[in-house]
Amino acid sequence: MNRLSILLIALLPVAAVAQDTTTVKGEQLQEVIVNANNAQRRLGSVQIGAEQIQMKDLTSPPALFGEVDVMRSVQLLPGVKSESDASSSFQVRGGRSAQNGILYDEAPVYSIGHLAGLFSAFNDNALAAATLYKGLVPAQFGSATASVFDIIGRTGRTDRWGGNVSIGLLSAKGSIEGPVVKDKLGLLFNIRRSYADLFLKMTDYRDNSLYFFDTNLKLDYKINERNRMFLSFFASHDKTALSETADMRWTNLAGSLSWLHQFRGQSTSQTTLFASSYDTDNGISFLGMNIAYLGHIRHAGLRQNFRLVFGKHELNTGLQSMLTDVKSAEWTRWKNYEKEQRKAWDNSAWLNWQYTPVKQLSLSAGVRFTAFSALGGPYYYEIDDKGNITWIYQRSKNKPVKTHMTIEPRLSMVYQPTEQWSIKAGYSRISQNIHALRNQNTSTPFDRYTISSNLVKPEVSDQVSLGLFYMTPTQDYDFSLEGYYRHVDNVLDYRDGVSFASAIEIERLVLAGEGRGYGAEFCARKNTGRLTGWLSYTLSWSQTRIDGISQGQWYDANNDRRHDINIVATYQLNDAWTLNATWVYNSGQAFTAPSAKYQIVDNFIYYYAERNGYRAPDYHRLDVSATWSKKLKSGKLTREWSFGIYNLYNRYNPFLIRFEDSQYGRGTKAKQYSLFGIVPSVSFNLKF
Amino acid sequence: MKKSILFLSSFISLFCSCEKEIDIDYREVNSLYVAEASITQDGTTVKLSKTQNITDNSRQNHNIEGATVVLSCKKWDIEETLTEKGSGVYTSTLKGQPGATYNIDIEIDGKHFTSSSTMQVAPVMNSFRFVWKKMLTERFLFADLRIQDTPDENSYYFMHIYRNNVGYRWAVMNDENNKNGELQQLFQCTTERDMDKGDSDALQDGDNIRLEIRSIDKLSYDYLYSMQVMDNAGTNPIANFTGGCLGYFSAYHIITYRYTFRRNEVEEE
Repeated sequence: MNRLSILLIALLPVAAVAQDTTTVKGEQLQEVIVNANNAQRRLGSVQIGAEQIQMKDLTSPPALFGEVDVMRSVQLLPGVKSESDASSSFQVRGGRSAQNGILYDEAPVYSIGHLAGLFSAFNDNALAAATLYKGLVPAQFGSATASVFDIIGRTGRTDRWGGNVSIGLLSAKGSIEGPVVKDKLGLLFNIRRSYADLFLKMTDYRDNSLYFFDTNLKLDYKINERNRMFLSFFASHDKTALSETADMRWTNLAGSLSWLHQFRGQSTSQTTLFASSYDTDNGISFLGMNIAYLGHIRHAGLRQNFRLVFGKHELNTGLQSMLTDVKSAEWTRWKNYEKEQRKAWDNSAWLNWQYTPVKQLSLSAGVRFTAFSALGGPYYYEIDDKGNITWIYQRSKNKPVKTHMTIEPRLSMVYQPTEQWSIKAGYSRISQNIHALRNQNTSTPFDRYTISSNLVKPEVSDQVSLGLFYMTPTQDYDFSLEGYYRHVDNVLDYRDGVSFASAIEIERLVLAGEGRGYGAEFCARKNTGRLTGWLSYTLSWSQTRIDGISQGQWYDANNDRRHDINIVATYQLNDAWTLNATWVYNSGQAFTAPSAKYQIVDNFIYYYAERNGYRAPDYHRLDVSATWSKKLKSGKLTREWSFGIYNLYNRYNPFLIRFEDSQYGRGTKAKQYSLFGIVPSVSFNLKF
Repeated sequence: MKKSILFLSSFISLFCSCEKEIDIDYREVNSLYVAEASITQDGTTVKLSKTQNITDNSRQNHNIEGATVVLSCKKWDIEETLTEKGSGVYTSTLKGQPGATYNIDIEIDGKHFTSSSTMQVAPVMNSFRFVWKKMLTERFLFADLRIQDTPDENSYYFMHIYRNNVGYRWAVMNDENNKNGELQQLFQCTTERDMDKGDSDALQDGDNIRLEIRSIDKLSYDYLYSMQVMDNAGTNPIANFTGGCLGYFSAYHIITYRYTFRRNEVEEE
């Protein structure tokens, strides 16, 4: 194990506390304690492919470095895969992580997590509930072809002031919540900051930086019985620097102001102003070389949704208007400065009708209309087959250059012949107009983004799904089996022989293709008793086809792997001790290996005959944790110790496979590099 | 296979906790033709060979004999068939003239493979040095090359460091980062620790260093650049020859610099 790994382990972790209560989306004026039986909800909800998640479920699994991470926990759900050991980003049903739309209190956010994505910037203390729509979504949501992850921030308690502090060795966090104005204005404030940079100052690494921070603020103002305002703010920042040589910084900001009005009955109106920004700033400077790369995605918009309930009918209708600003790159390389930045006006309207004609049957049907206009101001161009620019033009500032309109039908239904059984089916079409490009499998701050334009068409996915659900009469256990087929058009990938820095004009570097994924997901859950948890198994295929690659034939995508098994268990030993364990198994991930070699420029070069035609070794690991929790005599203070071990049996799983030759091209070796061996963690938490 | 990918090897060694060799059941493919063809200010050379299986670690000869190689240039109304010299090498005394575009036609077993390239003017080297750079607690050895850009042209360069006559590090660059000014290329060579250990890839006192700098045209640059980035993406270089022959043809002007590596002469940053 190398020195930096040892250092990181030495600087280890902190854990956090699961929430006692969770509030759900402000579609109702009353703060709701989610106590409905999960099994019943899974069985009876009309939307297939939706995982309604309570933070308590997702914060109990053992965590890498002890940093409880909702994004890593989501990877344990059926149909959801991790990108890699190095990433908290997840992939859904064969899609890529860049095809996930993440909403934080209605504002779109882009999730490069802390430490270059090692774990997410979402502090579990700040979260209430989340729903993961695995490609099948009601019409209120859009702009993401693989999944929508709708995260709701927690509101502060209004009965008394409280909070918690949590101290580990990697980071510390604290929160405070309470009634600013009793029964009127509640506040929740969270902050988390890394410790690593402070420790680095005491070591040989003192000139380096490994710093992150995030904060959340939520205000909840009850104007009267029918009106309520929410203000939500989220910020995260990372800085990783190698002395004065290399510097990577990235920042996420998101804010929303929401007004919730309740009409007579159950009908509501929600009006939300939101803005978000994701900025990257990377630089290298040494020995006379000076390189700086910047990029950003920014949004500002207004969203209006009406939820109208008439007897057995429920309508969700609304519209959203959003300005989008994407800087695909701005770089300075020695004396060369270039920038590509474009703006767009993104409008959408939706209507979703949910109807329950009889107790056994519910239907949800909707349509979403999207008009996405790339705006004038910067240069647009035409290119030839090889990516060379053939024509450049410039339209007046903010005048639409090209408008893409998509109509997206949505359908889902559930038939529940008995209390124990249900069958669900659904279809969704969904478009996405922000495209991410990356040379590697995982998301990094060097990813480039672009918008749909005169050259780039919206990515459009279609998915059908069918599911069978069963719950035991006592509701102690429930089982689900879902199958899906997904097809997506206009997926961008880099051309052969270019990198993200080959040209500032990103459209010159990409080719459009199509993708498809299909598979089955099985999940068995135990909901009651001392031992709870779930076992999930995913059987899946993910393929890509791009003209010019593999003779235009379908080939396995680089995120294709056949079998995923997750076992998550929580055992309540007694009032003080809770034990958790997670076992993850993934069959080998697709990767490209050379088929032959030859000599050019006095070096041996590999020849690749098939894209992603080989399989990496299987991945598996066991994580365990134990939490001791005790209330002090006053009853207002709770102490909690968490001890965890990530990768208990110290298996070195594949992170990267590279091929190396001897100096004379003989003895080709495949070398597997692993990221983490066994990683212990400990943290202390105090709730008040 | 060594290239000048900055930081990649350092990143892997810094952040990965374990590396091990794994077995792969490679699938064999039919061998393909490979051509490396050049015309310079000194003459013309073409090397023809075939790919070998990835598991083939023998010293078996993969050269192509009996091919017909024709070089032509419309500007100078030249068409010449190269002479076969054995070991898959075909040569001619034909010398490249700056500004002239040369076409090559290679016939192997009745199949024709063609390419073309335009000769460039001579490159100008400003300086070359070895220098230590400390990152975290490790000291890395870099070779720092500075080239004076050819004025008023879109210029492309190929740079190759040989160590004891064996290819060691190479890179390509264009002049976009400082047109008409000084261009810089850094090559990450080794670490002080590997040098102390006597690692086979680490430079040692007395090593003969030969630096070649070529001014190349855009087609050659595109090919070599794609070869430079392919290692990470697992893709092949873009085609330079028609017909499916691997490799490339380049008309270039070359300068050479020789140096004996002395550790005590390495500069500190």
